[in-house]
Amino acid sequence: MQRTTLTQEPMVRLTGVAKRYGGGVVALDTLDLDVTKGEFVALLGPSGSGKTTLLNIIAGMTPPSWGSVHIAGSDVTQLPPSKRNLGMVFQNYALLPHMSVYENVAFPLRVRKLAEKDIAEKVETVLELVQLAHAKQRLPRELSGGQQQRVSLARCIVYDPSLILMDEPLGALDKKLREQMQSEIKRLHRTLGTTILYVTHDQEEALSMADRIVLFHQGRIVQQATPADLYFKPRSVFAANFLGASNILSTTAVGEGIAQLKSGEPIQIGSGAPVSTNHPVKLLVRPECVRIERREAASRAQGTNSVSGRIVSSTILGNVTNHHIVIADGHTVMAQELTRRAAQDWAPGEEINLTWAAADTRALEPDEMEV
Amino acid sequence: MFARTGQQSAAFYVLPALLFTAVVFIAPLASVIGQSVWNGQFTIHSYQSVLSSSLFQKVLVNTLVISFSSTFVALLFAYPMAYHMAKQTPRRRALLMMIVLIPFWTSILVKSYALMIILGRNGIINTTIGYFGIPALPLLFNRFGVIVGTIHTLIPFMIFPILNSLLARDPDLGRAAQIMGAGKLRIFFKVTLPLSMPGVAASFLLAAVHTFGFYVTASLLGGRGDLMMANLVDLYTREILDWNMAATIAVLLFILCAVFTLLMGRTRALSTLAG
Repeated sequence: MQRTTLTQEPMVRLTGVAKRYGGGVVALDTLDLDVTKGEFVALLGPSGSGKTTLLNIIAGMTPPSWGSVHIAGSDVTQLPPSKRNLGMVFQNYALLPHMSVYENVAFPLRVRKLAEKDIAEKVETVLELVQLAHAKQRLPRELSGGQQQRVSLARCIVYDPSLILMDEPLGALDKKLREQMQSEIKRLHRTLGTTILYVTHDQEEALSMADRIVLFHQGRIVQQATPADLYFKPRSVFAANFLGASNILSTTAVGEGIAQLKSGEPIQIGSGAPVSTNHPVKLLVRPECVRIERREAASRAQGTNSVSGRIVSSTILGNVTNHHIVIADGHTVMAQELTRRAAQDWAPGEEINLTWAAADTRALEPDEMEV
Repeated sequence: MFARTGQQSAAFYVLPALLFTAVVFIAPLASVIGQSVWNGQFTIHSYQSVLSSSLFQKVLVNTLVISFSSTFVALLFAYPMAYHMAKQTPRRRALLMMIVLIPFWTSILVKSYALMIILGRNGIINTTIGYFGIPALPLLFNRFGVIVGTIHTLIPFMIFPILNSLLARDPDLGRAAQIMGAGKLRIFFKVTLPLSMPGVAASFLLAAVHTFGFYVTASLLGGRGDLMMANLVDLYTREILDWNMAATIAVLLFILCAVFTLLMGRTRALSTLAG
C-alpha cells in the first residue's frame, strides 16, 4: 500500500467535495474535511443533511460531482469501493444470510486469498474479541440484533482496513443494547486504534462516542468541534438546538456584550458571535445553567443575569426536574435542576426570578438558511 | 370472539371463488375421476392398462423430457433478463415488464402458427440460410420445434419469480461485499446467485408444472414422436373414443402436477424461512 510515512498526513482528506443531482438538488455543498489517523469522528445531523451522502462518497458508492477524496495519502476519487481497503458497518448489519457467522467473517479474507489456516486463526481472534466465539457455526438469523451487529463489526476489523465507516450502526437496536454496543465500539476503537467515521442522527451517541463531531445541516458542515466545545460553544441556533436542550432568547443588542429582552430587562453576554448595537441577537442559555430564586432574594451581582418570571409547571423526569417559566417578554424558558426535595418547592403561578451567570450566555450567529 | 369473526369474514370473502371453483373445477374433476373408475361398474382396469401401456410410458417420458429441457433452457434465458431488470430504475423496469408481457397478449395458437412460419421448411430461417447455400434444417414438426415453442411461452412466466427474489434481496449486501473488496463475479456467484435460488426453484417448478399440460404446442409444432400427455388424452377422447382411458390419463396427469405443486409449496416455505 502507498501508506505514507508522513505522520501529519490525514487518514482521510476531502478537498472541495460536492454532490449535486439532476434538477439542481444539492445533496452536499462544497466542503473540506480532514480526519486524523486513529480519530473517531461522528458525522451528525438530521436525515437528509448530507452525512450519509458524504459517507457514500468516501466509500466510493457515490461519485462526487466535484472535489477529490484522499485516503491514507493516495487519491482514491476514481477507485471503486472494492479497491479502497475500507470497512463499513451498516444499520441493518448486511450479513450474508446464507453463510454462517464464521463464513461471514472469513469472507473478506477469502477475497484477499489468505491461506485457510490464517483465515481460521484471524476469524477465531476477532470472534473472541467481540465475544461470539461460541456462535461461529450459527446463521445470522439465529442471532439477536446486537449479536448480528457484533458479527458485522468482527467482519470489518478482521481484515484491518485503514478506515472504518459506520452508517447508523446502532439505529436498529433498542436503547439498552445501543448503550452496550456504544461502549463496545469505543473499546474496539481504543484497542485497535482504527480510524472511524460514524454517521448518526443521535446527538447523545455522537457526544458520548466521538473525539470530534462534524455537524451537518442542509448539505453543509455547520460546525465541527469536540463534544464539549460543540455543547458549550455552539455557533448557530441550529447547533444549539440540535445538541442538548436549549433556551434561545430573542434580544436586541444595546452595547458591547449587553443585550435586552423585549421587556427591557438587560442580559449580559458571556461569549459567542460578535453583536452589533441595535441589531437583533439570539442568546443561548442551557436549562441546567438557569437557577430559580425567590424574587426578593434574587442575585443582582455583576456577572449574573436576572429576569423575572412566573412558574408554569414542573415535571420530574427521574433524576432531573424541569421547570417551565414564562418570562416578562412572554417566552417560555426551561430551568433544569437535579431532583431533590427542594426542587419541588415551586408552585405553578409563583412569581420568581431566574438567574444565570453571564458566562453561560452565548450569542449565536443568525441561521442564514433557517426559515 | 375475534377469531370467530375473522373466520366468518374469511369464509365470506372466499365464498364466491369457492363456488366458482366448485362448479367449473371440482365438479368436472370429480366427474373425470368417476369416469376413470366407472364402466357400468367400479373397476381399476383402465389404470392397469394405462400404466402397462408402452404408448403411455413413452408419452410420459416425452412429457417429462420436453417439460424439463424446455424449462431448463428457458431458465438460462430468463435469469439474465430478470437480473438485468432488477438492476434498472423502477420506471425502466415497469417498461421492461410490459415488453416481457407482450407475448401474453397473443393466443398460444397464433404464436404457434407464427413459429411455424418462422421454422418451416419454407420459413424465414430456412429461406434465409438457403440464400447462402446451406441446406434446409429440420426445425419444425419435431422435438426441436416443440421445445422452441414451449420456451417461448415459458420465459415470461419464469422471469417474475426470479425478478421478485432478486428485488427482495437487501441492496446493502452487494455494497458490503464490494467494500470488503469482492469483485463483480464473486459477488454474483457468492451472494446474488445463492440468495436468488428460492426464486429460481419456484420459477422452475411453476414453469415445469405449467408445461405438463401443454397441448397446442406439441400438436402444431411437434412430429408424431412428440406426443404429450394432453395430446394422448385428446387421442383417446376423439379418435379411440375410450373415455375410460382418457379419464385415467387425465387423472394421472393431475396427480403428476399435484406432486410437483406440493414440492413447489415446500420451496416457497423454504424461501420464506430463508428470508
